[in-house]
Amino acid sequence: MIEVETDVTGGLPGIHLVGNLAGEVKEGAERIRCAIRNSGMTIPPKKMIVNLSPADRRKTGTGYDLAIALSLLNKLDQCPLPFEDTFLICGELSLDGTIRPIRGILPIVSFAREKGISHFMLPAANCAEASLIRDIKVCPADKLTSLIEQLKTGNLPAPYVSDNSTASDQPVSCAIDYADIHGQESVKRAVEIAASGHHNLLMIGPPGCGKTMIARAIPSILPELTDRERLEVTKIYSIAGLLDGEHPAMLTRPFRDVHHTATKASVIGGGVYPLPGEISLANGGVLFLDELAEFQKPVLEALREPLEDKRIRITRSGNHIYEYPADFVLVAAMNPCPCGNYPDRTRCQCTPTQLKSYSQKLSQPFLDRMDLCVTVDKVAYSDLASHQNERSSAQMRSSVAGAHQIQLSRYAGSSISYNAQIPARLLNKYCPIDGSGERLLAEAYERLSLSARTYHKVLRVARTIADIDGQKTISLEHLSEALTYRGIDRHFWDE
Amino acid sequence: MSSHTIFDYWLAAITDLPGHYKIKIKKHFPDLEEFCSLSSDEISRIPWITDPQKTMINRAKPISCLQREYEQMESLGVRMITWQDPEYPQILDTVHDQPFAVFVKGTLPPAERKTVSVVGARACSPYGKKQTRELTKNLVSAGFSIVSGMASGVDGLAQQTALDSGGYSLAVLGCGANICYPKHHKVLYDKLTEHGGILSEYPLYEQPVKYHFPQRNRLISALSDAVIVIEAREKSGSLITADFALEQGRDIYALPGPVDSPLSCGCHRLIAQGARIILSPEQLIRDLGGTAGITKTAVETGDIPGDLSETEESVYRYLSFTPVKLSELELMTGLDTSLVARTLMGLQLRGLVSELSRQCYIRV
Repeated sequence: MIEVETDVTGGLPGIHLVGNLAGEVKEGAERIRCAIRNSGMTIPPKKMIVNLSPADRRKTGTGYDLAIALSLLNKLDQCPLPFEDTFLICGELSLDGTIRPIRGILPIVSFAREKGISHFMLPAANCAEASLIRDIKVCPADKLTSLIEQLKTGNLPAPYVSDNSTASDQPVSCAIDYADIHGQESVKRAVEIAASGHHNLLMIGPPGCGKTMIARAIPSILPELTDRERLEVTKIYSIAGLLDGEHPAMLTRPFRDVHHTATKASVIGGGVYPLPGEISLANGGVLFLDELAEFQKPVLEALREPLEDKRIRITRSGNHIYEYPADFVLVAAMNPCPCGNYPDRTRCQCTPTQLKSYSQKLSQPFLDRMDLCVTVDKVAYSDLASHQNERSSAQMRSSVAGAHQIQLSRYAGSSISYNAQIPARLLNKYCPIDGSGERLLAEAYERLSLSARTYHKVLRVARTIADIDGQKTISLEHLSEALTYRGIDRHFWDE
Repeated sequence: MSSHTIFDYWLAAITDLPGHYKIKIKKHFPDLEEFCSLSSDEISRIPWITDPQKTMINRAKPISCLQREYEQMESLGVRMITWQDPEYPQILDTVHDQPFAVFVKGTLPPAERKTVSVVGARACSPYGKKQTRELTKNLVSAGFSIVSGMASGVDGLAQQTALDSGGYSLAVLGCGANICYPKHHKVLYDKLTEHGGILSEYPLYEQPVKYHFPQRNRLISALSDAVIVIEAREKSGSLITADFALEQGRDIYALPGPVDSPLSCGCHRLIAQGARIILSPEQLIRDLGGTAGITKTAVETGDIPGDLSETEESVYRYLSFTPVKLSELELMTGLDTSLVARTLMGLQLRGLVSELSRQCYIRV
């Protein structure tokens, strides 16, 4: 929490802002001076020092303008501050006295609320976003002149009342519906499982068989954000400056499509004052990496930690650690080999050396993070024409929503939210299987050369399949299907 | 034991000079040291050496360069066998362009047994792999030795299968006998040195250059009584081997396959041009003049195991020895994708179906 204090002394006239301030904060002195003058008040030619304490913490952003202005005017006895409760004041001033909105208001308000502050004075345009936090009183401030008029009469601006037009139940608009995609039922099934349990999915197939299209249709089946998730996602987008006045809250799960030329900083976050990267913008939703083999290796390696920990820590000099959440579902698409036809040896022209170097683009630990793997094939013409047994987005969405509900109640009060997050030690608790299931898995372990990691993942995926089925117990059928979609390792490319 | 000199090695190292010319030179100059020390003028005066060959001889590596290699030969486990040696494979004498000398590791094919070569495409299909294994196993049990080129695909698989079945196999290399090409066959190479043989026409350390391979293919067919082609594309090295086999008067057997597979195209052409068709391991062995021993292990297409459930049967029916994808099976059976996936996994775990690659299945 930053406190603003002002002192007026003798000396050369001027407004001095101190307290380890970034450039834009210091420039506020000029803005404030103009705004005050243009609001009809005068600043006496005295030396005024405004300190933002604690003085060693770095302050950035333009949100301090309003607070500094009011503190100054109060010290100069030109404006009273009739606040009974502790208020948090935020806002940027423009030269004519208008109070402008700032970026990242939601995390600020959320943090202040946690610290016990429930009264806020914010720019009018920020109020809708701020009102997402419950149990607070927000006073909108529009122009400096009108604000000071009100304060002089001993009143506060009338509290903001949210009109709730940003409530949920907005239909998700997605350009593609799964009913439009023909002949890829097994891939759709894998996508359904991935979305339901938050499992990471890898699609492998030749160019042009529809991987990208299938991935882009995923938003049409994602269920709504929970309240907690909505808040977190909106905070992240607020910091990134991606919210606009019309959409102050993020209602739908994000879908971030990252191009393979993206740099490490843009993907995991960074910059001088680290902003959230794609992985944080995908928090609560899906991160889609198309053409996985074309990504720079450092970028893929940098993804390993957030995939494990569900958060990203960025350190800067001076021991500042910025931590952003990164809890997303990873969906990736790639070709099986440089020519795209492997393992069809009649068409694949790649030499064993080419296959080997292609397989080395993905490290084994990275492949270990992919819980599901499905091959996507070119659809024969007859498939395009026939329409039997096809599932639509609406059907898939209701399955996914149902599975989410089950997980919500199952994990209520615990630290995990989805089946993909079950730690190994809790597998026995949440994914119990009977004797015949054990025997099936033991058989599969031998025959299919499973690793211990794969074994655990199969259990989690089977749990999700059972949830989609509405079943409490995990049956042999659920286990069998989970095995069909198990992840791959480097041996996929051995002949 | 070795009755050769470094001058024989020098002559053998002139790789582009055809073998029968080298033999001619040796016949005329039994003491090759003399020939070696001839100047280029003196060589040009020899009437029966053509101009291009003179160039080759003049360009040959000087003895001093070869001294080291020659002395290393024994420690590398290689021995040089010239055409005058008693150990030189007699079968090579029937070939016009026979090698002057061969470099051998391990043992040569036992003289009392018949030899067949098994060759085929490097990128072979699962069908090709299966048939290579079947036929080689049967051939080995019927007492045949297997010769091949140790290349990826059919060659390597045939040699591995021969050794695994307790038989003998000889690899003819397109590089020096001490070099293992391709690299990922190192284990096979070592096993062949131990339990089979490695043969090369090229001096030590000679790299596997492209044009060596057609030349070595002539040796593969030369060293065998019959050539068996498992899979070959329309233009492939295996067809070159078959051409040599024709020249050398060896029998050619070709395996038919699916008519729409580019890998069986070459084989079908051979059959159309008169090569013999392989109908079964037993028939092949009978034609080759051996006695078939082993019983068939392959399940004929059309046989469905009796203890399958209805769903399993309807899925199994559409599987064969050519790969079928999960998406195709859904369409063919008309069943729900989850159900097909589960059924396939069940069949896999019972050993009736194998997953060639993710969601791509064949019968075992």
